[in-house]
Amino acid sequence: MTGMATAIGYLLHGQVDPANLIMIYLAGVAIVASRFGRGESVLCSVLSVLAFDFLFVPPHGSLAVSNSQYLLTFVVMLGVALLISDLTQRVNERERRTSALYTLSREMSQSRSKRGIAAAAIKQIREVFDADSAVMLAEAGLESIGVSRTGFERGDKELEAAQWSLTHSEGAGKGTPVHSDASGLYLPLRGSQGTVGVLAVLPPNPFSSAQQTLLETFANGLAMGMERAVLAKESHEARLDAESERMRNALLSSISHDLRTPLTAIAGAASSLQSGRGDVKELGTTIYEESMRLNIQVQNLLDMTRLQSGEVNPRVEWNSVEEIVGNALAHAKELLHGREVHVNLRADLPLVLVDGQLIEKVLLNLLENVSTHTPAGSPVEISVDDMREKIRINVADHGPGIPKGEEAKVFERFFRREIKSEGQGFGLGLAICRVIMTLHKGLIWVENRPDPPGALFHIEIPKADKQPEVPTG
Amino acid sequence: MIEDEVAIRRFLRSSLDRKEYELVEAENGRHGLQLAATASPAIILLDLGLPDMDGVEVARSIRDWSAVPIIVLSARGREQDKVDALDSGADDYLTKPFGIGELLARMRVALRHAAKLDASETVLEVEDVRIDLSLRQVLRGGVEVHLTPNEYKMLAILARNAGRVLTHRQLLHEVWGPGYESETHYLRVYMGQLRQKLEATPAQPQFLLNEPGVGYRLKA
Repeated sequence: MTGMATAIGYLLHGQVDPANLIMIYLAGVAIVASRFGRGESVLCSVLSVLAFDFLFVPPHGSLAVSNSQYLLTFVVMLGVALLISDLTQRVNERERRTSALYTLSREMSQSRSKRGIAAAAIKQIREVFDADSAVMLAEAGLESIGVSRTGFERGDKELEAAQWSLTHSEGAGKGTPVHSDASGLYLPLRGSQGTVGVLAVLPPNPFSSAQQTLLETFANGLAMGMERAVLAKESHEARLDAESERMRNALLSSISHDLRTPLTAIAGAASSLQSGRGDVKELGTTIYEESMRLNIQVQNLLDMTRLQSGEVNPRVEWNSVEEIVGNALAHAKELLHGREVHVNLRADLPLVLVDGQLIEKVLLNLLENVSTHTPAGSPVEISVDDMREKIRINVADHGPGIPKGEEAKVFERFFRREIKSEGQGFGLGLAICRVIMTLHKGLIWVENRPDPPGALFHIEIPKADKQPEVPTG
Repeated sequence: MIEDEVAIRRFLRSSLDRKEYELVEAENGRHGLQLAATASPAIILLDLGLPDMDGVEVARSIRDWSAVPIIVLSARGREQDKVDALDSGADDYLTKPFGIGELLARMRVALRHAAKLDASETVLEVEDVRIDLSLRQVLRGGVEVHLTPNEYKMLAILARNAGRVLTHRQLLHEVWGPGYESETHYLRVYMGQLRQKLEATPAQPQFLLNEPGVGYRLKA
């Protein structure tokens, strides 16, 4: 560049005042400073002054300066060179930072997972700062969800600094006033809902303040990216939930319709056959009773699905325990065929605030359980205790009881005792009981009673604080 | 019969024909309303789950211009539909699946009730209980039972509708009057008292029957 300026200057020499020749060199210096680094522009300034001095300043052909004002020229030229190269460097720095941030945000936006976003950030930090880094999330107990290739030390000192950064939402570790003996620099990932984690960087040598600022900007972008990933995941899950809810409802109503319609026709037709004679009557009765039993199982399946999905809102109103027990016994009439049923309850029981049909369902399922697990014709006893804060209903049978250790398991879904025996249904009955009692903030449990031996089921319903007012008369 | 399921219509056709009923079939609500007007049926069996119309709406439309007995058929778990249909004028209900014996019993009660609307019987006997509506007297095993005024009112309404279900709302309205239709707990208490006085084992009532989620029925 100095050579070019010299050549141009030589051509114009004589026609232009030497002071203006300086401008040509200055232009050269400006070009060098804007393209290259500080060293190059200083070198160019020195060379320019020397060439100018040697060729154009009298005495020509020597470096001696007769006029001291050219010293000023030299100083100005050097100053301009430094200023321009410095400005250029700053512009370049800013551009590099902008482009790094742009790349980071672009790569993060292409990734849907937290892990992917962490990987994008780590890659950018490696490229821009030539440093190893890790992303540690608070929700994972500061476990790193992404670490650069060379790994990351996790000593106590490092974790302390990371923890401090997380709790105080400030930078910590190397190059900061806090935990500065740590080998890593820890920057908080500040999201709109608080600090979500920490960005850990292992600087090869101490970062300049500009680099640290850039890193902080990185950390902020990373935090926003993480938040976005969480939100995206939540909305995706909400969509999935709604979708599966729709499918379940569609399935439920189609099961309800497609199974019940043929059942109604089968049971109805079979009931007509019952008015026939001999074998026809026998067969009709069998078909009728079994289709009714099948109907209970279908109902259990539907109830369980509805209860589990939280779709059932109990219709809580004042109910009479005596009536609920009576309803369950009326419904279980065919199930309890040929059994003695002893009911023991007082006439002055208080009303209870429950969904009467759900509690009836509990008792019906308990009675169905009795009918499948105890010898045909064995009696069943139902009693009600009016306790201080609750009403307890007891159902006792004269069967083999519950095998030791299975007292809680029988209330689990699809649990069946004696798998070999038939006619037990899906093992949903007792599980439904438990769900219903939970809905009522009540309890259900079973124990074996010694005398007479058998299973003793208890359900407890909390009593209301006071009874509703009923006019007398 | 207003029912969209072919299988159920077929079972009723063969079961009812034998009992000397003539069955007129409609497969949807619109057709059903049309036939209710043109075929002048003695009784209507109405499925609540119709493809084109709400069954409750069908019951209400028929009741607008006709007193023909209506028995609604519906699945379990749809108690509110049944209550709505009954409060809109349906006479009784049956939960699917059901036996033909039950259906015939309900139909007999509904037809009898429709026939004797003007000249109602005044004495009803069930188990060891005798209810005399003209004397306002209730005997159990030949001994007079003392009932409070509201207990008697409730029993009398059930007796006048013997065999039919009455919804909670209907009973409360009849006994306590307008404004008390949602005080279901009155019924729980009074029905408990009635059973105590009239039933042998109140927890297993033989005639003061509960229809869970719907209402009460006095067995005919």
